[in-house]
Amino acid sequence: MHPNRKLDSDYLKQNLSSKIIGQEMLFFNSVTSTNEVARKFASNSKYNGTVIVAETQTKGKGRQERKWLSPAYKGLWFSVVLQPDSPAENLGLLSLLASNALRKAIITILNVHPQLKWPNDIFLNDKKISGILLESVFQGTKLNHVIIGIGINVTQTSDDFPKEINSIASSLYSETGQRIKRETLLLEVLHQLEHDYLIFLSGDLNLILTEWDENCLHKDQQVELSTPGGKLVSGKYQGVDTFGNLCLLTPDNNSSIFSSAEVRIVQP
Amino acid sequence: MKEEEIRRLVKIVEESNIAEIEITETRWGKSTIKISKNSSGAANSSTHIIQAPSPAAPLLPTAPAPVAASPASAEAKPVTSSGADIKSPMVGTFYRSPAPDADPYVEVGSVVKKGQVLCIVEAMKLMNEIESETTGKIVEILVESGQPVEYNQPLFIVEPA
Repeated sequence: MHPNRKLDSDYLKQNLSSKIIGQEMLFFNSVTSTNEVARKFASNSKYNGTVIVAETQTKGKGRQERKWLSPAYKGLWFSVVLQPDSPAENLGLLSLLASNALRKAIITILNVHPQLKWPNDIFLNDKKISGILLESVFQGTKLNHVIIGIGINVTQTSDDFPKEINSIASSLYSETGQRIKRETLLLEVLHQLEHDYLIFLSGDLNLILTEWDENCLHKDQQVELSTPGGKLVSGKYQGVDTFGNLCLLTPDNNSSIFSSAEVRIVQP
Repeated sequence: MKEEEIRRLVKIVEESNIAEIEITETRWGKSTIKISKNSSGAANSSTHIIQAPSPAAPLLPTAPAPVAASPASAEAKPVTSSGADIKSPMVGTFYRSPAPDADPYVEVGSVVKKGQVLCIVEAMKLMNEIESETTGKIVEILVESGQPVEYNQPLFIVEPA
């Protein structure tokens, strides 16, 4: 492992196997967030598939503007611009698709098996190692573009995480002891993303959903959902529906569907 | 859409205080079902199959369609003002601001330009920014922040300038 080594952009460009995603790659030392930068390009059709990569983000963010830490050279912080011509109701699936693609890339490079938490968190040994945030822009009901923002913790050690999240967040190195080239992982992620994105565009959504479902951390478990309205709802996780919504069987034996919520596994 | 599913949706409408729902499936072929309640409270279903649908086998056969089953299923307010309505492009959660402690994008009375962000609809951690299609004034905000919204549900009324 080479501390403080920048990503080798030439190596990345020479070894890229994907045909759409990453054909244009823009590298930055420091940005507010890669999603913010991607936004500037995203409306122009010639940037479909463009990847924005930064060594560090000063304002990396998660859902509802929560902070995402992006220490320089210790992870992969990047965004992918996509302009799919897909029905709006299917777009939420890109969230599940991205996490599943990332899971598969990690298996290929590190031979470990992460699990997925709805809708798109990636866990290894019950610790979160990656965060994904998607942003899109609609003119009324017409989609302009989608940006998939991905953060992967690669080489951090536990000292790199603040105390509050030290027990729940980790990195690939901390969990596996393996030192990998960040370039190798990034190339594999882009390859898997494109592979699954082409399946998405072809309309074979069940393939993506089935793979996601098989690798879900809370499959058949009792969970508690915290909804955006501030409610807590408990029940048995039943799976995802065809749009990627979470299906919950509540104690009164009703099935409910959620399109946004935080999931917590209730220990038996 | 299968007959039993249509029956189930009719039942949902009958038992709820939703006046009308419309569901469009576009995965493999387009099918639209619109169920509206008449004045006596019973639901009528009028199904328009635009193209022969080949319904997706859901991973969970028991799972209800998301449009009708959100626990706090939005009851679309009747649109009373004149003007163009801005509709939700998808099922999700409506937010008036980018973060819980941030100012709302717009208020009633705000003058907005075409392309200005009005709100976010979130689904599966995909934050969809909805931009105004017209320049004008917000005359009504039809949904509370943090509430679930349905596909095509009106969110704002904009009086064109």
